[in-house]
Amino acid sequence: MSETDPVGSDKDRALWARLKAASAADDVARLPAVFDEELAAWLDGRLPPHAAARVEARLAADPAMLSLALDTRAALHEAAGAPAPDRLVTRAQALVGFEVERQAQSGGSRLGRLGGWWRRLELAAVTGAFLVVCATGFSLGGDLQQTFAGDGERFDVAVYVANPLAESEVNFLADQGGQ
Amino acid sequence: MASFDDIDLRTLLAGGKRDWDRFVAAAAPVIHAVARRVVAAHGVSVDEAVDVAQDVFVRLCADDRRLLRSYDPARASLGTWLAIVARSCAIDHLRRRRQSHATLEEVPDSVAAVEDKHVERLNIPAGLLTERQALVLRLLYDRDMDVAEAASLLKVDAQTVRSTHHKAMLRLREHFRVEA
Repeated sequence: MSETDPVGSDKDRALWARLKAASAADDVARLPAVFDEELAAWLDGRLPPHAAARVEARLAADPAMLSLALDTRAALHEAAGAPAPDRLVTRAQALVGFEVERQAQSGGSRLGRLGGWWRRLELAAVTGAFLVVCATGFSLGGDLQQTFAGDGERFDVAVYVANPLAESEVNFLADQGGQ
Repeated sequence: MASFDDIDLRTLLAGGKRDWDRFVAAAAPVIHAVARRVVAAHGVSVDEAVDVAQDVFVRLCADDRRLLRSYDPARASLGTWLAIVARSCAIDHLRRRRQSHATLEEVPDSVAAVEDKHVERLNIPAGLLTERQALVLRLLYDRDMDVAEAASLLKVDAQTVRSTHHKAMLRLREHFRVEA
């Protein structure tokens, strides 16, 4: 006990020491658990009496829990007068920046995947267009062929040659060509 | 210094970068103070407090801020809740770090003792003291707190602590006189 504001006597202290050595015990294990939020609420003085009593029973029986409560309170007092290092603030703030970037990257990869699909669509469209052009060209070509074929059937030499050569002239030309 | 009063929890949880930055500015002193105390208690260099505190922030924003979402403003203040959560996270961080750096046999007893779950029992017959009385005796005798400190922790005035102590000791003396 602190000497700054003494309360109790040496006899009280001795009795307390005997109590700690006695056999009868509060078994901390049988006490209900105290969760972080309850302890925080107790430290803030926000718990109703019955809930506060439950937390205090645990604190009285569980030194680890009491240390947690006292450490937390001490840290809160320290924090009020001591700013955090700048590098911690910078690094911690960058966490969300990185997260946003990561999301952007994952979004970018989604865009990339979309881009891939777009390129495939483009390729498919170009291929389709090519096939259409080919088919059209092929069918057009077929029609012309048929047209020419039909024209061939109606080909009349007389249309193109007004005065056909006589047979002797043809033979003469053939002889000249053979030489 | 940034204040928790400036934090809009709804927009913070929605993921705004500006709200996160404001939250970090307010929370960093608390989390760093907790980390400093935890590393000191575990015999780790205080220089590592920044890394430990950073890990707490990572845990807070992981999984779409799942841990932060568990905070209920109706129950406790954000600062107090953060301090308790940060302590758990910091101890987990050091436990993982220790597991990756050393086997249990290599850990000094003084350090391992910090994690010792052995509970020192308060050997008072059940029901003899109220929870508040038992806690006051714990604080005054086992934790060497003075009356003002205990009163501050319990959110009561010093006279109430003295009175609680007095009544508790009366009950104990009476009980043990009867038993003797």
